[in-house]
Amino acid sequence: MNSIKGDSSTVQTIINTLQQVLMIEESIDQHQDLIGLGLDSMASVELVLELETAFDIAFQDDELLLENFSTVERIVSMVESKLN
Amino acid sequence: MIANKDINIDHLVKRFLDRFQEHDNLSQFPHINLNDIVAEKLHTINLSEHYGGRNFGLEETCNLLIDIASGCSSTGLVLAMHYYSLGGLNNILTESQKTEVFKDIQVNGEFIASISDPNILFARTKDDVKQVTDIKIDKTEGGYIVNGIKKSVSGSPRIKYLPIYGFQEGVRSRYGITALLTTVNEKGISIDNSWSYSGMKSTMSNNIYFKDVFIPESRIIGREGFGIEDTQELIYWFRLALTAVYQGIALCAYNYIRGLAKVKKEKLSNHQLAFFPGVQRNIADMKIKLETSYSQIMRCAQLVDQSIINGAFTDELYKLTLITKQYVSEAANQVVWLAMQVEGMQSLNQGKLLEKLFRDVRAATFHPPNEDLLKEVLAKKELGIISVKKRWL
Repeated sequence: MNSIKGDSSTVQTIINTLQQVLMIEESIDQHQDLIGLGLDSMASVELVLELETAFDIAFQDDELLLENFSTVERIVSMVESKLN
Repeated sequence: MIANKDINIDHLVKRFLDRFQEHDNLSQFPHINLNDIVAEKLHTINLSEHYGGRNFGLEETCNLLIDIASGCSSTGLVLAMHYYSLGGLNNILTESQKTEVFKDIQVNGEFIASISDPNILFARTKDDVKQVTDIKIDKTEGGYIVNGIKKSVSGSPRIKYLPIYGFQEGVRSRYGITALLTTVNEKGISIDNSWSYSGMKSTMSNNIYFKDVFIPESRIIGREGFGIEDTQELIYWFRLALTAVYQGIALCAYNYIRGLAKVKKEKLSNHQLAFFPGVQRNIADMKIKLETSYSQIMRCAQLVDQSIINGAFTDELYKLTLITKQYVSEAANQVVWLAMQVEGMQSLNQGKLLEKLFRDVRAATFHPPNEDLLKEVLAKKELGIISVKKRWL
């Protein structure tokens, strides 16, 4: 987790959210393929909704592509661009 | 006849074919066909030996359903609902539930309906789910109170068990859907006998109403609030069992027209239709469609059987079931259409086999998800679009 760029509390919240949505307890690496961890279409909907609630942000329609949520690094980048 | 672990039901298919005209003309439910199925102990075929079955997986069940539907579409559809519910619930129900329900089905020749459509393909929030779900469930002491409607229940005159999905307020889960196993005998359940469709006439797919129906908590399927998550197998069984029925209808049309082409003569030349190139072309096209759609059903069913063993279902397999449903639905409609081209105007004569199959096969694309929804879901999954907000830009 320490290798992930970004604000540590943001990163931690994202990882916690992912663990909750994917129903896993194992740590998640920055570049790990989340689709391989079970981020399917159903889980991705829940992930987007949880992230919007957790950070009080709103993703745009054209951002809602699975590939934008396929690694922790990509999610951190998207979330931080909205928080900033 | 398609091989099925030494089971040959040619005699049943013939009987079903002999009866279709009366059942269809009078909109009669084919009780007699289901009695035959029970008499030959085929009604628990996809359960374990303990319940009188032969452990048929989805592949073998599809083969059986293709045969049954090639004799009677409506019997095929009612049994598809029955088999898919048995197969899908087999790994979900508790041992005590199975002992009670499966034994009753085995010993008393009872049938089980399809589970209600949760209708949540594009629901984004729990409020959406609540709005689109036709059945509402409230927790009460010792069980649940059910209100709402379960639409188009195939086999309503004959089924006893009625699995349902319903929205339950206040549970902590993604969808808030709880699954329950009800029976048509519960106090507060009524059937409206409103089925009046030209296709699949004999299925008597009436609406069933629930008014303050009490269901004991021993009849919950899976966990409270996790009805969707805990019953994933059902959707795979449903899609494939359904496609098998329409494959059977297409097979029936093909068998009929292949036989007719050898005996019916063209008036001017006095030669059998079989010797005309246009007819030969249609026969070839029908056979190609039948074989390719059959291969698609079998490949998909084998993968689902394997996934059930592994306990894991992927997005790829989900998409494959959608593709299979769409492909077989289109192919079956085309096969019946081509058969009608060969027979000519007589195929539209009421009471003729192809006229009935024409009405029945048309229903294929309307089963959930209907063709439009199916393609939308498939395309969005292929493109990786997360359907959180608007369905369309």
